[in-house]
Amino acid sequence: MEKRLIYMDNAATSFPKADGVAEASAYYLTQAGVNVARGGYSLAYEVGETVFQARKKTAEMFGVKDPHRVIFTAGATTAINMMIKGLLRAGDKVLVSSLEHNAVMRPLNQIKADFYRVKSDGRGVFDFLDFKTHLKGAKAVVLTHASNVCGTIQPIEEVASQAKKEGVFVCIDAAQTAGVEKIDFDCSGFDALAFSAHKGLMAAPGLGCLLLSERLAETLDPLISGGTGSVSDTEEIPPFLPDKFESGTPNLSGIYALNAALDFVSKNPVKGKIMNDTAFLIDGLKSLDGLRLVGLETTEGRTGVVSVDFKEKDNADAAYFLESEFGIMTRCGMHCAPSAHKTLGTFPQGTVRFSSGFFTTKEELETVLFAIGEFLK
Amino acid sequence: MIIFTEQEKYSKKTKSCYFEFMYIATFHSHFAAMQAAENFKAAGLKATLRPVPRKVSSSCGTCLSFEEKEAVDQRALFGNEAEAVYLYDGKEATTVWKND
Repeated sequence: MEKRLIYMDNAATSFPKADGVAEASAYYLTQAGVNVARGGYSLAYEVGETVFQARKKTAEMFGVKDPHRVIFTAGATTAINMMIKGLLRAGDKVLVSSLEHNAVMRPLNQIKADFYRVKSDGRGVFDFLDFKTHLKGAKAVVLTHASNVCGTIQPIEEVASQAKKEGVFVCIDAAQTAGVEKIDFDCSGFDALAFSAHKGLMAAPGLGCLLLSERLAETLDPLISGGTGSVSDTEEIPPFLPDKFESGTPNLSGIYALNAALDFVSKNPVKGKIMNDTAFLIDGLKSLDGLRLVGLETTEGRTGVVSVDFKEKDNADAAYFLESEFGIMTRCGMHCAPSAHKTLGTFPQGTVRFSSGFFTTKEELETVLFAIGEFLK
Repeated sequence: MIIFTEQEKYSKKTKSCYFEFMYIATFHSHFAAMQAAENFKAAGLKATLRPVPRKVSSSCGTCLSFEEKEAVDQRALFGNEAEAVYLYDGKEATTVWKND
């Protein structure tokens, strides 16, 4: 078989990017590369208009009534650090799920938060009763929308509804779902939601978003402070949004890319395509002996992330074989989520993760299944 | 140091067994692995970056695989952040050397 490159690591970052992304970034870099909210000239206002449009489109896609509450960040990890370190202090009680990424767990450990891991079963299904039992006295619940290891979706709306009754802040890590799953931020009662621009939204790396509720925006301390191009006659951080959380020059080529990607994603059936791929992969994998499909048995309750554990063979060797023999790019190991692997029974061996994207073809998926079959021989 | 014959060395690719032996060098960081890969290239030695076999480490990591036995003892190739070199046959990883 002719060797080709088949990209199955869209959970790490999308590739290819959405149509129009490269052109939009290149346009900024070659035709409009000036700063925003600083200079008072027409090109700066043109760039400002694109940033404004990108913010409005993001607000619309994620159900945020006021675009001021859309904060551009350097990525999802930065956004998560902003919400955790700006809200919580040492000893604060926090609830997390058992599937959290290190983007959540490392900041919580760093600030010495008193976190409780809500139980999940071996498929990653959240134990809502355990959550309710431990909710009292918590300051916040920080929850991933979907596991980056097994794709299991967590009941974030139900969690938010329950947490609100206790006055607990609800912070969501939507790194694996933004652009794919429907998210209605204001209606769901979330206080913060973090995501990157380059995964499901298919824009460029180096940009993320933090959506904030009104009440959290008032409470949250900015992690970074500096110049904003506003109220420059004082040395205090502006109290208004988005400036309060956007000090320094933003990633403008990334925002141009996001602006184009939002147009693409809003006009194309991204979720349907990815879930069809996921169903095809799951069915094919279940027909193979010698591996264990991790997480839920069907696409019900999942997003487009599929992990397998090779029973008799080394998972890293599987990933190496797929790449070296068939050009199939996967992600093996811990996926920066050791707790998820402990929950799913795949610690310390980890898994090999397959994540298709909007541009993955049926032929490529067939090759992936064929290649896995060859490895298992 | 483990000595083995030419016949035992890494190579033949078949569908069922795509390698027989390879050396695996592990590092404290991705950066150090990339630096070592560059060192191998500069020395005219073939080496490939690949995932660390789970038998060797459960940390997410990049390691350097190579087949040139003569490279094993050239410590400068691996840099100061090298952890260890193993001989790996797809089932077992035998330590060749390890930094303290």
